[in-house]
Parts: sequence; structure tokens; C-alpha cells
Amino acid sequence: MRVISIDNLLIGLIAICAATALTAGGYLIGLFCYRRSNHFSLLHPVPVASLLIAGFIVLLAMPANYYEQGCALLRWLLGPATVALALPLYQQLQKIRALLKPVTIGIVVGSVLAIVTALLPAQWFSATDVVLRSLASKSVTTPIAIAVADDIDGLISLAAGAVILTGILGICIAPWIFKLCRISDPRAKGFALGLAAHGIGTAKALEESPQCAAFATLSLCLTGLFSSLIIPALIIWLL
Amino acid sequence: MKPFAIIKFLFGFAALVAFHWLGEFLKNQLHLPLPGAVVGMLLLLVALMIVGSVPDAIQCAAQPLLQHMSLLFIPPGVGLLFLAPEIFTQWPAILGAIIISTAITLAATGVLMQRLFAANG
Repeated sequence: MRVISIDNLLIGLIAICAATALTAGGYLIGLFCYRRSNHFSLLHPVPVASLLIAGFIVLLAMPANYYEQGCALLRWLLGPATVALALPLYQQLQKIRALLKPVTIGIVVGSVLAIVTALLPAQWFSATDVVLRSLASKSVTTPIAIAVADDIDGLISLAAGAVILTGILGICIAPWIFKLCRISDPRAKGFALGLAAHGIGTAKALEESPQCAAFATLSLCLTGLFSSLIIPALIIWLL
Repeated sequence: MKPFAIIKFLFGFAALVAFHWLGEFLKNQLHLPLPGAVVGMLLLLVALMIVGSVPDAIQCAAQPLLQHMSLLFIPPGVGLLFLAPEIFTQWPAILGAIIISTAITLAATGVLMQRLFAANG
């Protein structure tokens, strides 16, 4: 058994407080920039705050794992945050009872497509095994993607980075793709945004209409659920 | 009114944590191929369906977690910038795969759903 001395406990507590405060500060600045820039997608709070905090760590010559260890509380919160996704899922499922069949087909086809079309090109570009394992969950909402990457031995950081990059890229190209493919039904648009671009896509859908956002929320939750079930199997099959 | 809201939040939060733990427990006992937190989410979904409405306390605790979830993605975001250099040499593969996959997924899902929704009213 590991012996925890009072000293270590204190140092740990200070590290947790410092890292949590630093992260919250970065988040507030990131959120401020994002709102000020009228929700400009490249200024999403996560990349802005990550760069700021990384700069701060380098500037103070802080040992890199000091911050990482201090983030234990934030890492732990991902669990209850994932569980909380049951609420929007429950609320949306109540509304779309009549559309359960097309929604199910869409989730199955879309989720498999999102995973396979990412893994195959990455394989052609000769990405290594650990990168492929981190890319598989790129269309899954971040808390679930982190849990999945952890389960299949991917890199948590890379998985989270791929998810956020996918979201930002998704909302940048979505208007063009919808125009090119003549997709005009707000339900279909929202569904595609939530499936391919998870939370970031859902936030974009909210700007279009409440109906669009409702379908985005629905497909975000269901894609996370379904993908976390099939990614371990697809990884074994494809790699 | 204020202390009451805090108690409600704490109860709701405790419930979310309990569902997470229950999910992890079931995952480990039954060797489920799902992350424990997702099992917890499914359990909560089933519980909400049985109850038939969302209890105030859970709504109260889930709201800030859902609204500011991005905060929790910053530590892995920072970690990304400190990854081993051999990962960075693969960025063309990573970026290429993400661009191709996102474009195909958006287009295919959008077209499929537009047709399915039109057929189903």
C-alpha cells in the first residue's frame, strides 16, 4: 500500500488548486475571446486556453507533469459530465418517438462511416498504431472519446485534440457541403452536424434554429453511445 | 432559497457520481466493452425513463456541467502540446484523415437523413 504523508497530501492539494485555477482562468479568457469574436470557430475556448496555459507552463519552466497531476479533479469530473449527457438524450428522445427508425439507421450508418473513413485514409498515410487508436473516436463527443481512447490504449491528449479539430473543421466546411449536396432540411443538417462534429457542431446548429439544434443534440448523444460500443470491435477488425 | 439550491445541487451531483461509479462497477464485473461513464449514462437514461421526468436536483447539477464541459477538455488540450515529437511528424496523416472523414460523414449523413425524414414525414 502506498503511504501518503501529510506533506505529500498538502503538495497534492496545492497542485490541484493551482492547476484548476490556471485552467479556469484560461477557460474564462478563451470564453471571452470566443464571445467577443462573435463565436469565430478558430477562437474556440479550448484551443485558446490550451495555448495560453502551455505558454504559461513554458514561461515558468514548470515541470510538465506538475500541471498534469494537478488536473486530477478536472479529469475526475469528466465521469459525472458524461453521465449528465443522459439528460439531453432523454429530453430529445421524448420528442422524436415517431422518427425512431430513421434516426437509428442514420446513427448506425453515420457512426460507422465516421470511424472507417478516418481510419482507412490514416492507414494509407501510414499513421502508427497508437495514432490510429486515438483517431477512431474523432467524431465522438469529447468526454466519451477520452474514455474510449483510454479503453483501447490510444493517447488521451491526441484523441481529445482530434475531436476538437474535427469539430472546428466540421463547422467550417458544413455550410459548403450542405449547399453542394442540396441539404436544406434543418433536421438533416442538425443531425449531420451533431454526428460528425459533436458538441461544437451542436453549438453551431443552435445558431441556425432550435429544431436544428435539437437534432444535433440527439445525434451527438446517440453517436457517442453507439460509437463507444463499436469502436473497440472496428479497431480489432481494421488494424 | 440560496442554501436550498446548494443542497439540491449537491444531491444531484452525488447522484451523477453514483451513476458513474455504478457504471464503472458494472463494466468491471460484467467486462462490458463500453466505458464505465457511458454505462452510467445509460443507467441514468433508463432511470429517467422509468421515473418519467427529470428530477430537479439532477437538472440543477447537470446544467453547469453540460454548459461548461469545454473546461474539462483543456487539460488534454494542453497535454497535446507536450506530446512526444514522433507524434507530430504524423500530423499530415492526422489532418488528412480528419478532413476526408469529416467531409464524407457530413455529406453522406445529411443526404441520407434528408431522404429518410422526407419519407417518414
